[in-house]
Amino acid sequence: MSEPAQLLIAAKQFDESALSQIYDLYSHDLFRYAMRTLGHRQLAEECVGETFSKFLHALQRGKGPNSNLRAYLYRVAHNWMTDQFRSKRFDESELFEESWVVKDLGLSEKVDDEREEAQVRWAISKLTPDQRQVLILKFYEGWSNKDVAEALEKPLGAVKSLQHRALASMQRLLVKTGEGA
Amino acid sequence: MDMDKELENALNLLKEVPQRDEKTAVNAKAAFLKEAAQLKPFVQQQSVPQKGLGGWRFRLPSWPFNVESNVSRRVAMGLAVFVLLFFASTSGVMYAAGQSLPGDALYPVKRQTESVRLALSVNNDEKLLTSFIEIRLDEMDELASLMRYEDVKTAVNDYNTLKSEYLTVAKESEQAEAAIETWQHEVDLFIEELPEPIESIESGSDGDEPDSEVPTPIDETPEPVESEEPETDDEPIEEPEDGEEPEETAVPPESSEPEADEIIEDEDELPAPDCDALDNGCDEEPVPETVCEVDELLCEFEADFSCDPLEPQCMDLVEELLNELDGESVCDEFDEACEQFIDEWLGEQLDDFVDCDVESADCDDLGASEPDFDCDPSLEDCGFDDE
Repeated sequence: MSEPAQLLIAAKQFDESALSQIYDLYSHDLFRYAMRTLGHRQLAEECVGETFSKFLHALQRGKGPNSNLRAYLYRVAHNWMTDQFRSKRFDESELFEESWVVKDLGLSEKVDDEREEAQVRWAISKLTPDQRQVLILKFYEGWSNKDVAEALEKPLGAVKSLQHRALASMQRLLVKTGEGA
Repeated sequence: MDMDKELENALNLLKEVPQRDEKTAVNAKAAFLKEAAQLKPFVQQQSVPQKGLGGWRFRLPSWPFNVESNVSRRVAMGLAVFVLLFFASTSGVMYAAGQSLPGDALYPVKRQTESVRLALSVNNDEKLLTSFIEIRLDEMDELASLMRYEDVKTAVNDYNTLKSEYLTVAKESEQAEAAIETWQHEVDLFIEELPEPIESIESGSDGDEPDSEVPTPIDETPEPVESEEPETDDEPIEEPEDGEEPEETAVPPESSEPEADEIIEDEDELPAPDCDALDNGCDEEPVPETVCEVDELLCEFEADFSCDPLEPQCMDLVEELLNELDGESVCDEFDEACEQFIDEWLGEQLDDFVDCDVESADCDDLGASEPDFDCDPSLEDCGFDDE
């Protein structure tokens, strides 16, 4: 597989192989990111599709990123999701409904895990979108503050404080629901 | 990320994401490639990218500014300008630049383009200058209607520069004289409209930065931009606006001090925030001191106003506020004026902000409507259904 930078150059010429590699490189991560943010499989797929489509259109207009394609794609995805939240396109109570517990455990363990996991999902859904984004990118995706700031187009200080408050909120929310008992 | 072990365990429950459906994924990729094939015939040439176009976070592209050697950088600069012009007809940037007004981020590009066109023209100077002058007049018109009087002054200065050039190249004729008279008459009308009298406008000493010869801005900007690259914060390049910031932040020291004291007093009741404990990266990389100082402010702020997470509007406010705070503290210099500004601003915000405890009556003052989350009766603080 070629270097990301070279891939990008080729992609701007709409080289099919490059575009294909880019899709393979990033689509699953984007799906995971969207899934974590939205907690809704269909919407997450839609997000991925829209993101890549916008990417193509930007390339066609001679725009698009010159570096750090990952941050760019995440930003586009983030913007799309934010738009959806703002225009209240969906009922937020529908989000995070699907159970995520994938491991096949003994019956009793599974029930406990499921309940706990449901609580965590609920708590995450209660965060403000900004906090959720930062929590996901930092904790689940393991990004640096700098990358998060770039992807979310926020100042670095805001990212740091969002992280702090996201964790504090999760703490309070989970304690209230008796998590960890 | 530094955090409570229990919390970490809880969050880890969601680490595994449900698998993407294979078939859907394959179809999605096919759709992507199909769309690419459809768009391919219509590809426009790459323009030099702009990030945050039109917003205050205007940032120049890293190339050619990050080219290492001075000589190569100049060559790269020249090439960049050439590339800009070469793709002028289809490039979105040139279109946007062409639409820009004095005071806009892209206006310098517009002016540079004009200069280059002049430089390249053979025996066409008079015509070009005429059209550029008329563009200035149009700009003055639009700016005046937007009441952007500071920027009108910039346009007038540019006009004066162009007018002198015109006088140099235009053959002496009745036509040329008449043209100058008409233009000057229009410009005088604009000058009259300005709320403040222009003292030095004829000498064109103010607002000349966007205006300078093509080599000068290119020479000057690499230094500040180059040092930006390793830093983590965006720094806007706001040449036309440089003159305005000191005015906004000039505040008598006395008024901001009491507010700074107030903040500290409130803090006595709460544990002093420890920036390090928040894993806010002050240690991570060589971040300039100023960023950490801003972080401290944010720490203090959080200590004072911890929002109840069940009140989403509350947290939105805080976030907005913090974004603005950091946004305003392009205060990377963190000089006195800047500090005062932050103190004053923070003080203002503190007045408006209410500790949005769910059970607090003040919450309603913020226009908080009924919360749209389901009030789980098992939650302690869910106080909406009683009292």
